Amino acid sequence: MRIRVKHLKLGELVFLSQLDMVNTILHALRRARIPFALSEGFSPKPKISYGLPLPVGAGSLAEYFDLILEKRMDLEEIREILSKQVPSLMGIRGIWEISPGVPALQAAVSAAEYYIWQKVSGSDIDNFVEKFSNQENWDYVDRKGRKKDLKELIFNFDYLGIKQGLAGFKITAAAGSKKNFRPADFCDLIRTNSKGKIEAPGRILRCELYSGGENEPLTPFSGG
Amino acid sequence: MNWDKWQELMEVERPIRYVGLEWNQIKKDPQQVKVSWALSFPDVYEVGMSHLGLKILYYLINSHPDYAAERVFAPWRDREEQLRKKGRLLHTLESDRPLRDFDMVGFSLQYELSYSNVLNMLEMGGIPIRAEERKAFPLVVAGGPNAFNPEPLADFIDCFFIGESEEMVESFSAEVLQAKEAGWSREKLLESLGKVPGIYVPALYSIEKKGNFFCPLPSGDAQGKIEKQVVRNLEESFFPEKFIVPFTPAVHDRVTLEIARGCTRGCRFCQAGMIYRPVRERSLEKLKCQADDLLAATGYDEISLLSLSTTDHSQIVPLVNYFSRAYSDLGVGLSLPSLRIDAFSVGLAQEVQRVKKTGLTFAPEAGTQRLRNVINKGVSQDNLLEAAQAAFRSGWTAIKLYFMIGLPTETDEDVRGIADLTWQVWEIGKKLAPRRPKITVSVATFVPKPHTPFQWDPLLSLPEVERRQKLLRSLLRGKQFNLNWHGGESSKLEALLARGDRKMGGDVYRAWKQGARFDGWSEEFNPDFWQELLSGNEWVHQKLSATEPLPWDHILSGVEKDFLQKERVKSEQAEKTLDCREGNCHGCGCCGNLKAMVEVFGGKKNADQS
Repeated sequence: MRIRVKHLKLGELVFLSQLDMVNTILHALRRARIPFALSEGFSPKPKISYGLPLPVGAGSLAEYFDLILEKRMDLEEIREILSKQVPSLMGIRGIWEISPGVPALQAAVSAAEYYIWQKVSGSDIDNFVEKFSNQENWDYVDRKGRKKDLKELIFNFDYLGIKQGLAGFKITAAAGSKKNFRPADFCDLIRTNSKGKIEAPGRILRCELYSGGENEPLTPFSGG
Repeated sequence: MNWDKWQELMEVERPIRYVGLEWNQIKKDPQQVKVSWALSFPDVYEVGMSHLGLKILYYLINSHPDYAAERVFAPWRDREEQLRKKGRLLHTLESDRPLRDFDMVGFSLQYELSYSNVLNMLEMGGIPIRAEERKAFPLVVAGGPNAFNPEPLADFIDCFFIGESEEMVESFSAEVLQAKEAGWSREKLLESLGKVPGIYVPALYSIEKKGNFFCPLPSGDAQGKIEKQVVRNLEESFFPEKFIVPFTPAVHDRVTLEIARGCTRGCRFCQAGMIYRPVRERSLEKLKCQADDLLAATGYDEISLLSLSTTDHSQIVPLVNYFSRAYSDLGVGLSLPSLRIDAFSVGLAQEVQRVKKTGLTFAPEAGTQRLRNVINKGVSQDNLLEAAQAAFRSGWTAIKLYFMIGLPTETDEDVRGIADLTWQVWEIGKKLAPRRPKITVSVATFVPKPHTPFQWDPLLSLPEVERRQKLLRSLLRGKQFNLNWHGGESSKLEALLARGDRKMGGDVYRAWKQGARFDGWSEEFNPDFWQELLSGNEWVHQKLSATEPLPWDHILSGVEKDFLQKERVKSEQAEKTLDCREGNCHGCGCCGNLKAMVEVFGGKKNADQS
């Protein structure tokens, strides 16, 4: 039986690395005695796979993993026993059965939606953001010296205004192995462009992952 | 989590170290707690969280409704800088309260090179560093193997626990609670604690120079000798039903079953072999229950059978048979941390490692039979070669060999012996291993430790250590060998602190003040901080006379000083002493002194017939 699970990653647990998070889920699955399948070979590993790694420091409402179970179980039952073993800051939000033919998360992810908050200082931020969002290109050179246009990666961009000294953005952008928008790049770019009025690092919350794009509509995984 | 906390943690390396919130963490309401402990481990989170003693004490203290134990670890340099800059005190993971708000701050002293961190944690926790400067609570307490020579830290610690702390911590807490409720002064409380068996209160002792060392003298009615406390019945003693499960892997991150405590093989360099006597085992039945509980509570996928000498457990075959199969359908594997050198042990390892063939480690310690007899390491060349044959035949290709350089009576022939033995192991591997074998040779510098037969012996001088290392390196050239060294100035520091007296507290203080932290981490160790200490103290390179008063003579491990001296004489004649657990008592004095019995499940015996 193949299942897909959606969970949170919030609070202080945003500091878990991807590997730490996988291990934490595995500990919970073992405590819950969920009969997950093990790989063959010299060191048997649970057949678990995540979608898109989350940077350390970022939170999420939508972490997904796929898991193969050795025997059938009732989804509600899994949800009930697993929820008791998962730290509340990683609470289970959804669980689905998926057929063996459904593409792996990693291959299927094409977009992600983020909330981003950045500290601001100085005035006239709203005007700056408006001008910035109307620029044709968001040219950015990343830490490794690679040039890219971040705007090309954006599906949807909303400026949420300033609340409690924080500028908020809601961004849906390309994600996955082919094209990938890094929220930290955006924070860095807007910091430089605003001459530091908008500060980085920004606090990031991922709220959904999508498949589709290109010629198809974006479909949230939880809707599937 | 508010913005400031988030931003703060974003700035440091591995922020998860400072977060807490792990599965099975115990958080009590400070208002409801009558006696609070900050269990303090003077190293980073990942190291401290591996330590079994911390888990035992954490759950034992917290099992009491009126007591609470919280945890704190040494902050890494970046975190220290951050806390200092923000003017914040070092606090526990559970309640974020600074160390100064606790009734007791209890340090675990596992290695001498963590002493600078002890001072740093006190100061960062808002506690006066020197015991004499403290006015009220907390009491600063320390235990663990290094408490068997407490003197170098005696200026900074109010009470040392000598021996197995789980025997002492409850009655100690009760006494402190009583004192708090009765409104005793700090002095009165310390005086009273100074009469409790196993508790050493340095403030009640003056010091007097005798020979090379300043030695403590009791004042008032403080105990003349402080006797180690031991768990008399390991089978029935407290063991946690849960472990905290760290989010980020600890160095040892698994279900640890303590199958036995103590080892009486009698290796003459080994402090653990002397101070953890007598041998006490847990039964398979007991361990099964503990494993069931701990696996269910943690979700770990590995069980480790812990003891100073795992393969010596009298039920080791049924233990390994059981634990290597019982949970295999859950993907739970088994590991054995220490292997005796013989084909039997390799057979066991093979049983354990049905699937994974990671490296095997053997510790012959010395290169020739003569020197192995001197140190009483009961291993022959044949044992090692048979073990190597068995290992390579069973498919292992990586073998790690542990040796020491600078053992008493060592000559160049013994150093060459290390190379000879290594070459022989490699030759066997070349014939029998499925792939080209890889031999790792790890060579530590011998450091004489208190309470061992070698406590009077010298540390080899640095130039001589280097000469012998060079000799060995010239004999073990080749890609098939991977040589690791431990030694140099950090070994000298370890040797000085291990056998130091109370005056050395000044050196620890100066080194900390100059910036010493994490001296056990090779990349962090800076000998400049310790220059004054390292440049003097010639005694450390000299042989001490048997009549020389030692700074730890007032601490009784149970093993008689006469016995250690007899063992030292035997070592000079390369004469062996056999393991006593089968009943042939050699009169170390331990069982009689501690009123404890050797407990092996092959049958209970009182091994001390002297």
